[in-house]
Amino acid sequence: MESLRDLVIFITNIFNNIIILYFFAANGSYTILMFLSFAHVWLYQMRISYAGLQEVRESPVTPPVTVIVPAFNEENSIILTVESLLHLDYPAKEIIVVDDGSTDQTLQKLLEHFQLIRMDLIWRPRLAATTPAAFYHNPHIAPLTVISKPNGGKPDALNVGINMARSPYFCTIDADCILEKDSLLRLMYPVIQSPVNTVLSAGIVRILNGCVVQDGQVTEIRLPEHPVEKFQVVEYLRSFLFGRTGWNLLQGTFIASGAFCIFHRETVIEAGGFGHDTVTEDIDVVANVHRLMRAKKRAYRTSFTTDPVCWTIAPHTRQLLGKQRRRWQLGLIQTVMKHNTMLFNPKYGTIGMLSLPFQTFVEAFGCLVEFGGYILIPVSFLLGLTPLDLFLLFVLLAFVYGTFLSVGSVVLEEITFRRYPRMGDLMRLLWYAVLENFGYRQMIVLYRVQGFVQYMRGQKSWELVRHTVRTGTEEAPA
Amino acid sequence: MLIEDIITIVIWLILTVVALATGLALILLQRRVTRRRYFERLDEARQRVQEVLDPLYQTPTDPETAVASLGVLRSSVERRALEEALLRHARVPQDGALTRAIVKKLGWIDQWATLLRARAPRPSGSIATMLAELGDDYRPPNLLRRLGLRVSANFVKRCRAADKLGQVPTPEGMWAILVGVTDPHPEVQEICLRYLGQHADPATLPVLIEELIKVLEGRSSQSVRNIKTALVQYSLDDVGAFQIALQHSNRRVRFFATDIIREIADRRAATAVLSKNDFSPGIYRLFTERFHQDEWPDVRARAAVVISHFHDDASTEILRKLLEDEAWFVRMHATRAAATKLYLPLAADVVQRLTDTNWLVREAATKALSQMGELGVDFVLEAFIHSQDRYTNEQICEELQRGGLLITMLENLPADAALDESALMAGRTLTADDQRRWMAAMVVRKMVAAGMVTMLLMLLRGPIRPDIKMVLLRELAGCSSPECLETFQVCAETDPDPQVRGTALAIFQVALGKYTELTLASEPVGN
Repeated sequence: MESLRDLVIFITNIFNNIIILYFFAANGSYTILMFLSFAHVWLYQMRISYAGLQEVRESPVTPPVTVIVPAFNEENSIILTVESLLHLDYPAKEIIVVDDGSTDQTLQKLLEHFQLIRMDLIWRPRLAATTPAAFYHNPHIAPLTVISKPNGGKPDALNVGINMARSPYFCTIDADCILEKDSLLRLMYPVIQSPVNTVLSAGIVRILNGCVVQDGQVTEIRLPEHPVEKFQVVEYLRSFLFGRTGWNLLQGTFIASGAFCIFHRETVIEAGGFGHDTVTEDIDVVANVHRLMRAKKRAYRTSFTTDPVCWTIAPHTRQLLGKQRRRWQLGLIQTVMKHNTMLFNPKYGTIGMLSLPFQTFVEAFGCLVEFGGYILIPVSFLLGLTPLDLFLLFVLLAFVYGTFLSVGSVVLEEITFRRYPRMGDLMRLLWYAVLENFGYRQMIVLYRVQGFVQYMRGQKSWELVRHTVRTGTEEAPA
Repeated sequence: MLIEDIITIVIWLILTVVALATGLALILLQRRVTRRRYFERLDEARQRVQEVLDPLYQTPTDPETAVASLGVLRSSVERRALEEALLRHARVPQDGALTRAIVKKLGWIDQWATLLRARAPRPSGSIATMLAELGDDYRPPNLLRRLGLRVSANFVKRCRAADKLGQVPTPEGMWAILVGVTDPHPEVQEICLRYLGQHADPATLPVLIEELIKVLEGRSSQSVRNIKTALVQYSLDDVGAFQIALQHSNRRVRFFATDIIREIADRRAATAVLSKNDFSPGIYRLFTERFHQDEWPDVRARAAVVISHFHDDASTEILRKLLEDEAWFVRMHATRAAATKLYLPLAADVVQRLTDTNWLVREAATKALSQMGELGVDFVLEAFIHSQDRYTNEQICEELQRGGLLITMLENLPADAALDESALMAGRTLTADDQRRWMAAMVVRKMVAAGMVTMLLMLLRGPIRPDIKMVLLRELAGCSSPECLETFQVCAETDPDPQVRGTALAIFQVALGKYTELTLASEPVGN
């Protein structure tokens, strides 16, 4: 009996140590990323005061960009999105909306609002994609083309857009997003400044819920009402201001949000375009691009900029949030597994040696350890199998340190961009940054574990998330 | 014991988290309050600065007097507000001279120049020569201050100094900016290069060209786009300085130099028609004698556009040759270069490009002809009517739709758009109006024959003139596809014009019969 107890203690200790080690590694990585981001964002803020944006705006050398908007059943947000794109302050832009076989009024609304005429345009595919059913254009709104095609999924719609694009760079935008007027210019700025080919330039995505929108532009930034939405604001700040900025500094960008991202068109075509084998085609294409560029030994860089802002609608209920996070987790696991030959492969530099291991062991599979930790350590402590100091360490790492990181992201936001002008909103953000670690984070871990289960079951399709436009002045289903 | 431990841990956890959050909240609160106060003070200072500055700019003022009246603005906030205001005035052309004089009298130019030059190496080579020619009389500060500046003048400060010197152009500032090109930090270099381009002083052009060569040879970390953006801002009169780059052995250097001259020429051509006299004889000779036959197609391609601005017989002949170049890329650029009424003599050659093997050339040809005015459009339409080439037809058809040519052609038809074909049958000479009617009818007929009826059907449903609808209905009469049938039916039921409704109904009935017949014929026997 005594030996059985010893065995249980031994096994528990092993698991506990793994869990504590994981929290150490994850929190350590996040802390390094946080400090890198602090330095980078601070410096960026100072640099932008003398950046030559005006020059870029007026220069004939500024490369044209095609904005591709894949849309599936987006009747309530599509007009707002396209209006915001047409008002973008960029010298040479082309906008291609790909209606991916919507079953609602998305296409009809576009046709009516922009008085588009159906035309027989030439289809010259360079990437495998479904042949479009119809093309729409209005000669008086020259930059805009709408393509209608049978439903084939977002990657297919994006590939159709790439096939029709005429610019050396293309920007992917979700149909429920609103871009700030100068966001495309700011996103292209690092591409123009770069002495080597910048194959990817990603921007920050912020949450639109609660904000006031007029004429396709965010006119007043407010925090959303629902706690689930507020938690996501904090989460997005942490993810974009910390994570992605830090990885960008290390040239290890592995995740770029497809909601707002610029790609070098020829490189993406060479990399095979957006694939169907994962549910997060945006992560997969970035991995493919890295793989291609490293294999061909070409000089290239990726960029992440913190101030070209894309406003997106976030899930406002736990159910929708769950669907979204399960999909993200499923996609991330699919992608890291697909590209596992890059793991710890020095040929792939920072991506292979740092970024991909982090995404694999912390972001993709870490949820299992974290989930196990939330159950195993308290239970084993209650059963007297875990010593107090270990339990204390767990609490410190899982809750207190998490709070430090979340609050840190709000602090970074406040000392740099200060997007939430109301004092009340700032205080609420801080409060939610604290609360986030006591319930919300654990809920997200649960969704991520569910995503892992979906992966184990071999699920290939993703759960559809229908957002609701919740702004300060209106509320309509999207 | 265990429960007590847990309670203690939870209490400590809560206290720690609350303390952490409260501490940070207080810091942020304090920061917000401090910032708000600062900006309130700044707003007040801006107000005071405006009150002092406005009278100075409204009435002609001596800079000495102006500076004396600014003496009341002493605090750091007021200085910031004054700096902002003066930099704003520097952008207004009529305020430029006074602003420069005030800023100089305030000693700011010297301060910024000293800051910018703090880390730059002692000028040497072409920059030293250039500075000597420009009369640079900069005296560095004493050793102690120099040492202090080496520590305090970080790259952000130097960038800001360069930015301000660029905004308030003075000779002293320009010398400092020239020196800044050799600054050890690439961002400082970038700003200096940017302002050299913005001021486009011919004397500084060689520095930028040298930098371009360095970038292309991999000896500089600057972005080639930045250098190019700076260079394209120079005047066409200065392009003679590009000789060194144009005759460079590195083909990439030749290409970029050619491309920059193309941009400069294009910008000037947007406001005035250029001729060979706008270019120096040396440049003219280089382009007409060498570049159109450069070994690298990219150079030939860009040279085509520059040559097109010469507008003389020699350049026309060269363009004609380039339109048939072996590289499709060159043919495309040459075709685009000919996209003006002035190159109507080349229209027949451009028409040949409508059947080019590369679709980008075909597209360029269609657009180029469309931009040659009415005659050019006629060339496109004629080519469409007579061409048997599927790809040519597709390309022209796309341009007709996308570029709005089809709508323009139909809208510009004379009243009673329908062509009286009896005139044709009788062999009578067609009037100008009849010719336009004939052309429109043939274009529509060709589109129908090619199966590209989508836009025609859309037009039939739209609010266009009834006589044009009659033309469309007549040409579409043979179409019996479900889309056509649906459109005929909509016209027959809803069109406001009775004649259109009647014709549409008649065509609908015939087409429906045909459709039924075809459907029955295609069904397998026994079904």
